[in-house]
Amino acid sequence: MKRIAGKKLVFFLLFSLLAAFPQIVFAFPDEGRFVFDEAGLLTEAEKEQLEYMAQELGAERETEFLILTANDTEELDLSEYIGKFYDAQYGTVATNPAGTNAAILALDMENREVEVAVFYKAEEYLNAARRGYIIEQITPYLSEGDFYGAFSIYLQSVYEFMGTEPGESPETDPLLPDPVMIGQEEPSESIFFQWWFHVIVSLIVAGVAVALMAHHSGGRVTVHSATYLNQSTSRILNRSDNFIRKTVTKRKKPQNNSGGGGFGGGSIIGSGGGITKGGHSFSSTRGKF
Amino acid sequence: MVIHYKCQNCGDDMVFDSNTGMLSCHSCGRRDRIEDLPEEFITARFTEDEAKEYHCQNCGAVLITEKSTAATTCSFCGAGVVLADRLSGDLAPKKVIPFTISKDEAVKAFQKWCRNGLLTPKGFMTGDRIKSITGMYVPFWLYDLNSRVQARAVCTKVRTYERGDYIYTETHYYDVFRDINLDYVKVPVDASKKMNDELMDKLEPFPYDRLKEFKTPYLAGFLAEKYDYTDDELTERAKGKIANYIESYLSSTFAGYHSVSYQQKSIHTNKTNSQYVLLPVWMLNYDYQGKQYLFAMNGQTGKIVGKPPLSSKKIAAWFAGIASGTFFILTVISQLAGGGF
Repeated sequence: MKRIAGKKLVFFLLFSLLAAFPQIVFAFPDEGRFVFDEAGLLTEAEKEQLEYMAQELGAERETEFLILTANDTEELDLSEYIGKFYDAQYGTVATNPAGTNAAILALDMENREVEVAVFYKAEEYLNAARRGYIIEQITPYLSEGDFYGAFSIYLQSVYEFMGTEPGESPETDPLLPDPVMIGQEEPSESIFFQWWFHVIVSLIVAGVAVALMAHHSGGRVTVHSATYLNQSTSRILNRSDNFIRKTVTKRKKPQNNSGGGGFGGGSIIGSGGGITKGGHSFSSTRGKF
Repeated sequence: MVIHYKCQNCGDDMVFDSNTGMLSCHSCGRRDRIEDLPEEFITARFTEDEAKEYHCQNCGAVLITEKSTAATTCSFCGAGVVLADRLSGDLAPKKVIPFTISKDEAVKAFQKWCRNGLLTPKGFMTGDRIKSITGMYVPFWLYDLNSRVQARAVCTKVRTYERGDYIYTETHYYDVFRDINLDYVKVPVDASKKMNDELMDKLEPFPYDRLKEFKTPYLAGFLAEKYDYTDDELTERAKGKIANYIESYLSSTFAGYHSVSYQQKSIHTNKTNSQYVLLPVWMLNYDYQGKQYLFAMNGQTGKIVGKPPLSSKKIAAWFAGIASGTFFILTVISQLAGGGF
């Protein structure tokens, strides 16, 4: 957690700098190799920044980090749309039998859906838990319309994750935060998990216990309602229980907003996999924003 | 009329012995069964004013008594005497529970109780500062009360179930009627002005199976009081003592309903019988840091009541201990529960 937070901070500062001065660009990458902004969400300067980052970070991890936005997926499912794009970009199994390592972030602006699809080596490093985590991280930015921020975090995260193998399970993954710690960062977390609530409850319990002890120090009343009751003659002489009427009210079930994913944020729709028309298999995770 | 029990063997004073339940002589060890002694005085009628001054039968000195005292010891020769005219006629107790806890046992039990006090200061627990201990027969009225309770209420039963996207809440209303007869027997109320009512209430329960026909020898060697209030004067207090019991019995008959709203409720309580009894109480005066503390002990069961001093240090320690313990447990629980999310 600390590790990722520290690196994140460095990158965040770097990106803020870049965002503030998009015109000071280090070098121009090949135009439109990594960012395909068909929906037109980015300015030219932002696009150049992202291109540069995708190129630099991707080269280091030997993986293509792609960003794809679309207003119209040509009536294809987002996964199929990504598959079609991948085949077009890197060729089918016939022309590219070894396949190309790739992580593709795709936005469907029509349905407001986001999907991270991973191919080959990226499939191994970016497992469902990590993909879910990335989507959880960028969804707030996407919802606010800060696409450049979301894409920057995406690039930085996939770079980070591609550098370390995932653990056996999400709990043992060194790069994934402890789910409990995420819970504590959530402002909506139940007060039963707040330390100050525990303090208050402890003080109340102790106060009541000591007050009872003090109260009982002088001896307590040990007679009760049955002590002096003559059980043999005390009884109900007459009773009646007559049904009068019945009322029924109904209300709608509260919607359960938290979906799967296991990270509490609740924007993940699901994880799955597939094969592109060209024959490349991939895994992907989808979310709403 | 003063009764004084002299040993038929050696002529010394005899007193009631709580261990054997017999009248015993300390000098020669003679024991007399109280049931076998003549009861000539119990039926004798005297008016209260007849004898104003009492003389000890043993030494002839004037007995110094309060108006309500019925048994005492002579302050000159120490002989246990019973003022029979204060226990006869209207003032004659019907029954008595004799002491089964002796003075020594009472002192020991009290010291043990002090040591076990969780909040009592250290000095109080170890110090032996019992100033005086007095075995006293306290006058009580035992009331038999009959209550007739009639109540009508609208009650509800609530059921919720889910169907489709909706949660349904179904409420059934019932018109409920109860007619209840309740008999409470031997509800004790202390009839002495001197005694603190709260203290006496806490001494309950007294074991009524130990109630014996009243005989004056039971009182020999102890203090005894006569009643200051008649049974009629205390009937209301007896009714008050059972009022909560009646309410809880009534509500128990509505078990199964989610809500009860009374439309009409009538409770009539009548006294069916009352008897005058003497019940055994050890009274202890205790000195601690210049203050007097009064404790009472049930002379049959050994139950002790009375407010001991509280140690602020111990209160603070308990408070801190319980608070930190609870905090620790809560933290552990929330960690475990949080791990499941």
